[in-house]
Amino acid sequence: MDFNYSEEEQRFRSEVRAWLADALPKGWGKTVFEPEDEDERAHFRIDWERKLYEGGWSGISWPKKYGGRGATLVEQGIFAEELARAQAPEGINVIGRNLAATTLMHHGSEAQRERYLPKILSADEIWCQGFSEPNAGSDLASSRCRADLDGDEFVINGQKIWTSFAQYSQWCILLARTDQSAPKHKGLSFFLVDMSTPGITIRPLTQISGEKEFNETFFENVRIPKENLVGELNDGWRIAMTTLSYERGAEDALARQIRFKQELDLLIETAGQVELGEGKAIDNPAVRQRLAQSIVDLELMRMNCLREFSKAIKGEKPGPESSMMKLYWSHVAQDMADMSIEILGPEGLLMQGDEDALARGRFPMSCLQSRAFTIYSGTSEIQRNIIAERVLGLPK
Amino acid sequence: MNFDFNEEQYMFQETVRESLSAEYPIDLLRDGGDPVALEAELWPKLAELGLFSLLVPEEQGGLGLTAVDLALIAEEFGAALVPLTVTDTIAASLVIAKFGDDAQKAKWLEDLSTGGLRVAFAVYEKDGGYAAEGFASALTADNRLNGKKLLVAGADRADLLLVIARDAAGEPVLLVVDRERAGISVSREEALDISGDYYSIGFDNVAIAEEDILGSASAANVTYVLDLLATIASLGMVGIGGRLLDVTLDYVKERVQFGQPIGAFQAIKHRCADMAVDLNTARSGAYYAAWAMASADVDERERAVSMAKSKANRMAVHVMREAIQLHGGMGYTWEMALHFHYRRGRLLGTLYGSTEYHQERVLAGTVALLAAEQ
Repeated sequence: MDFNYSEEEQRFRSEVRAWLADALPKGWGKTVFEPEDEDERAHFRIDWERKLYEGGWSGISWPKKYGGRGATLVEQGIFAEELARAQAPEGINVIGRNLAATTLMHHGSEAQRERYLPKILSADEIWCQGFSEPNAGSDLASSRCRADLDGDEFVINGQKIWTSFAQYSQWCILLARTDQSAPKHKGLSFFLVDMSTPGITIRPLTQISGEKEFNETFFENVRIPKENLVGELNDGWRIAMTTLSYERGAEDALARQIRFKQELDLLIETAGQVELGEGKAIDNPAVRQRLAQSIVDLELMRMNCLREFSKAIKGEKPGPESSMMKLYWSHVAQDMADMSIEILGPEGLLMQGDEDALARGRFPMSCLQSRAFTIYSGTSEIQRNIIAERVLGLPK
Repeated sequence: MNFDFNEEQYMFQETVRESLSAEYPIDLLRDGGDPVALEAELWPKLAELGLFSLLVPEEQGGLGLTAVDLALIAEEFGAALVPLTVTDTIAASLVIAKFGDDAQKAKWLEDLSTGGLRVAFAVYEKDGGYAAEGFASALTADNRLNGKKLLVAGADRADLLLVIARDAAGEPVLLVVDRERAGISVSREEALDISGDYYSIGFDNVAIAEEDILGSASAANVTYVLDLLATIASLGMVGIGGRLLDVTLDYVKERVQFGQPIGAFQAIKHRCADMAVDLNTARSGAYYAAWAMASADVDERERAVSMAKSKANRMAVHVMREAIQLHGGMGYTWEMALHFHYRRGRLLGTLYGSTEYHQERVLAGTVALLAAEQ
């Protein structure tokens, strides 16, 4: 056990830090911020991802043969920490890099990897995820969207929902039914769909935060070449489990942890400024206890990730344990966001754009956004089922 | 950067676990065994495994290992409810090795490493709180110790007492005192935890010699000792949580109601999943604290220990409550023996710093850290 960084790792950190200082605009995070308009912000983020790519920092953990740096998990952790430290923008192609690419690395053909991975890396192609349907949410395996082989093409018909970033995406990873008579887990296949194919309609959904990040996506006689099938026909469920273990796993959690920590630091700073009539918010013993509990919960989120990293370095593959990561962080972050608007007094309720808003209205926005944490990539209830049945061995 | 134990450390844990499950099963306590007599039988077996030599430096015949090497062992001790005299004695060897002068090390460490000496930590007091500066037991100008300590594990048969007191100038200080010295009175307490025996100790003008004083009087030294005890307690609570989760999982897989094992009901599953997640996180915290005790600077150590202890406290309350609840009426029976873990868990949770004490310490440390960064 050793929490010290090697000289090489420290060198890596300085290199990242120097590059970021140069790449971000002057005054970034202090006087210069991301565009407020959602659409402008999305394009700003795509531009930022291309800049990361040009600097050689995209997909740093990917194997070198796919254009990555072959960075170790420790270096990935350092990289994520430095991005957060610099308050660098988040990427928009997370589904491409973290889900589509990792799934292709495990299950794709060499031709698919050669075709898709470089453009994911360069953010020339943005990806979305077509898994959930209106009637297949927690019960994902009951998906009804179908793909029927017709000559050299699959014909897709059906509807997906909660497709984040579909409006910016060139490609979609799609789970569709290819055998109507097989048991529900055995009749699904995993496809790569070009979003410009005729027959695809996107309808934005407005979230409780007012943002329009996710969508309904309709497929009507969408014809895709049969080589866009990933893996074997009807093996889609198993492949999708790989995707989900990355979506819920430690690498994802660590990057989030750092963002949450930034937000908590900002909250502590803000609580040190807000007067509540009887002194500053941070002088109230009950507030101190709540803040402290969030600090502990969030620091230990990082420790959980690092323990998972060490297991992965030993060669253990990500599995259902990733549900433990996701269940934990989603509730910790939600608790923190809930607390934030309870401890900051009246002005803590003011949103971005109001002249009296604290921290540019970050906390009430987080409070709304954090409702999604315990729902997306598997609700907490589904994560608990997975943990109970597949980690703890309780009967189905 | 590596947050894992090595093969040797895991193997040692396995050895200790197997030995404790054979030599110290919970049945002994459940069937009415006297913890004092049980400890007397267990002690030489632990000594044979070399456990008392773990933290004794090699110069004094020990293994010269660190708190990291103790971590998995302390977890097993917690799971098996090994009397606290054992961990107190192991911790004392580290404290003496760290703060003692050559004469003190020569005097005690060799005997400690073979299990030839028992040590009891005399720390807590009525109205004394948890911080190094809070304890009222004090030395007079002519080095006489006065005061009263509570909840001292195994004090009636300890050879040495490791006492936290103040010197005549009011500075916190560590003392190692022969338990049989004149002016020391020991009386058994009725404590919540019955898997061990606890005593109050009165010090009435007890003569303290220069060679009884460990290191220089300093709040920093005493805080290190309190952090060490809090780390071991955190690991112990992780052990308790792990054992209770295992026992509960076994039970809900077997117990049939409404025609199926109750573990098939989501109402039960979800609670077991939450226990597992909480335990996993408390474990991360406790392991990190063990590393921080061995290797981190003082600020990081204090933060790590307080994070670990506050989290372990919260986890233990949660897991212990659910373990008893999910056993239904059986959980409330003496025979099911869950109450032994509950009692010990409660003791470890309150001693060595409450959740609130440690959380305040985390917040104060974080605010200072953020201020320094700006």
